[in-house]
Amino acid sequence: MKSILILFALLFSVILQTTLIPFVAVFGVVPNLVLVLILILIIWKRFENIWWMVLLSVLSLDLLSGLPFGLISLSLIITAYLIDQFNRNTFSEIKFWIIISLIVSGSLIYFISLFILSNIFEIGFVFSLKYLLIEIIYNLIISSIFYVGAKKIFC
Amino acid sequence: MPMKKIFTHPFILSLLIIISLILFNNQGWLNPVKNVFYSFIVPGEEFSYQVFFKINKFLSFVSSVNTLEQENINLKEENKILLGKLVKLEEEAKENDFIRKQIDLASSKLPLQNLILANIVGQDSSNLRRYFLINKGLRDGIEKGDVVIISKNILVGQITEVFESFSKIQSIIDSNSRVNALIQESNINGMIKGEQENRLIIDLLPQGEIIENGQLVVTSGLAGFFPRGLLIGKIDKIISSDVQISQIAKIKPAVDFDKLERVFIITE
Repeated sequence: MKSILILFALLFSVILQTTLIPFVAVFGVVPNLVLVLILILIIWKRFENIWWMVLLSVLSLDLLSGLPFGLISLSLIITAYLIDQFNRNTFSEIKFWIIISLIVSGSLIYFISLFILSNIFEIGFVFSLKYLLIEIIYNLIISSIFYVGAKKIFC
Repeated sequence: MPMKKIFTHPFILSLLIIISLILFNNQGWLNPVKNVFYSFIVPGEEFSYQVFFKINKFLSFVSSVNTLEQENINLKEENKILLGKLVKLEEEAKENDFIRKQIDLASSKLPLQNLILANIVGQDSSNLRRYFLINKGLRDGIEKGDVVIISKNILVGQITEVFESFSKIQSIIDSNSRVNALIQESNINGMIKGEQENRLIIDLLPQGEIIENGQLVVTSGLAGFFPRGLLIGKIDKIISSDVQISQIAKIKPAVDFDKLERVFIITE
């Protein structure tokens, strides 16, 4: 039952990412709702337990993106796995500040993955530190809202 | 770690699935799956987008109540100027028609164009691209490369991917978008590029040419990707430097990309 709920939440976040999130852009930058939800779920549930649900949602997000197919999926899966490994090997319990630091790390890893893969896929990548910082702050705000809800629903 | 265990590891398995799907996609084998996916997701996307669009429209209205009066005065002034221009243009159009008839200029007729109305059902999910998703596709007669406008010939972008009932539009504010354009008043040619924060820049304007704020920028029709004369925006700020080969200017797009609800696709 919880698996269905998680899958539904992930797919719903994909729809929200392409329909609601563009309306809350600040300086043209939007938060990454799907990334935040995946990271929070990974922290609570571990990658190997929910990998196929994460995979389905990232592939769906890829199909609704203007970027070449596979770019977002690969970046998000790599980020999810690395954050899971980092969390497992570094922290023994889940606290709010740990979640915050993992969200910041996840946002950075996702950005670096996108940058490297964009070069492999040979697409233009406009780097801006200002926009990266806005996105990270935005992701932190979203994750703070999700934290309490996710804790109650998924754990 | 034995070979079998490596390939059943969730992370390796995920990567293998994605890479296989990328290869399938490059061969076009994923298209039937994509069509099924879009036929399922588009109605939900459309409903969700319309709901959030209306909420956003209402909130924008509430927050702009204080500035409405001044905006109204400005618009009335602008309307008077435009009316004057319209009368002049109508006279010129009549004169043009008369001359065409006199010299029997049949070859100058524009190709027959159809307009297809489509609803925006979503936007690109990353901060790297500015794409719009619409609820019309191959079965409605849309093809890759078709030009997308809103009413009164204002340019929005171009169709880059088409499926049975769904298409993707690369907007002109996308950082990878390039449009050949000219400044209407002076006929100076340049190249439009997309920028962050829904803005545009016009590059490759020759040095020495006089460019002024408020001048209209339209498509030039060069390269053949966009028809000539579609409105792009107004010059907002000139960034000119003597050390550069060409001049650059910032452009305020004529389209409010945050308030796009419906678009027209030009099909020939």
